[in-house]
Amino acid sequence: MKRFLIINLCSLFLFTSCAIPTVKGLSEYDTKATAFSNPYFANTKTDYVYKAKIKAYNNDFGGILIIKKIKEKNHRIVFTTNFGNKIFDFELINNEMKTHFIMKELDRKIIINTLKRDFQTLTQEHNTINKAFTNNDGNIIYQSKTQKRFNHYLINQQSQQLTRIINSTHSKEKIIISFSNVKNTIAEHIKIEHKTAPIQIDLTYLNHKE
Amino acid sequence: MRNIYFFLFLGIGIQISSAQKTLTTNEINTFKSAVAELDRNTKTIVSDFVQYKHLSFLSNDVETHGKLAFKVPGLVKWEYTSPYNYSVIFKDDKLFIDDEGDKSKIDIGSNKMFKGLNSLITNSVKGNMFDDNAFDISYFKVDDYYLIKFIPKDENMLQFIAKFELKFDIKTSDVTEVKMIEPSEDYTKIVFKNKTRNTTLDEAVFNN
Repeated sequence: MKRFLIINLCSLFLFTSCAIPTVKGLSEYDTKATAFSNPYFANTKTDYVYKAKIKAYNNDFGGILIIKKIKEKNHRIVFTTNFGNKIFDFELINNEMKTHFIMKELDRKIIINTLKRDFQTLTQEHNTINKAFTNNDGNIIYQSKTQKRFNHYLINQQSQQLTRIINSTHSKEKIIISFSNVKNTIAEHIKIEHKTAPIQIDLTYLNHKE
Repeated sequence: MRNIYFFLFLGIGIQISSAQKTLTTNEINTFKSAVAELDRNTKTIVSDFVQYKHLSFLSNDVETHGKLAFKVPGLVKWEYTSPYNYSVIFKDDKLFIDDEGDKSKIDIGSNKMFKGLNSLITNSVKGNMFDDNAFDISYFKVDDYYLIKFIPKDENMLQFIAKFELKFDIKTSDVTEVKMIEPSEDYTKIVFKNKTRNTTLDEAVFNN
């Protein structure tokens, strides 16, 4: 009886662990591709400058988000007020984040880790494909494993553009990043939504010189 | 022949290094009184501005354009018009923000940071921020302008700003440029254009 219970519990665990909500019930797609490249922050010559509106825990902040690919696996991410004062200045190098500056009021581990995960998900260029799926609309979803979670890259069947990145754990969707108005590999509108915390970031591309 | 070039370069070097001249105590006093007098006689200021955000790793500075309005005793409207619309009004100890139609209000009476920001903006627009208790101030003459450097004494402010540099027109004693330099040496530079004082300015300009 005891053994039966253990087997059942284990199979229950295995079953739930496989049921990542983003791809639950979707059919697997046989792809030859082994890697997917996120094209949106991949050009070292482009200054990616966005007007940002952040809503977090009933607080609204406005400012400018600046992202620059310095070299392979290295992005600089700076958020300033409209007046130009820096709120934070991060650098992602090989998936580790270096804080060049952060306002005292925001200098808390939980905030920094949340921002780190958001920007890693947003900017990580080269991703190994773990599995691929198709959804009911015929869009392809590439699943890539990160350290503790999964990133799902949704490719629109018609436009062949990356329209969404969904960051999930085994049981929950955590972050959804939506890209729209894509022109010359620049997503002019980006929305970052947190599913398990009241945080939303809206980004609008500013016509900055390239 | 080589020696001639050597002396020529040496001469240019000396000229460059002498372009920035420290003001004498007399010159400082004359300049400060001129700024104070201009400030005393000012009821309103309107100006266009261009803001340049310089970050060492960017190919180009981030450039935003806008206009500002000031009316005594302390009404300030700071408005960005390109490439987006965003305005801030400092009025009655409150900060009224209009972010592309999303309006909000912050009570700055209780917020030390915004209070400091308000007085900095007002004083830098007017040019009158010669507070020796708040800054270590040094005075220079460069070409046809005065360059005044302000190093904050407040530890909290030093976290954001290592130094302010204000440029003044020698003839008018009016501030033409404000540069806020961060500890990392990245900076924000605001250049005023079409600045006029004492034009009629309706109070309604400061309604959000």
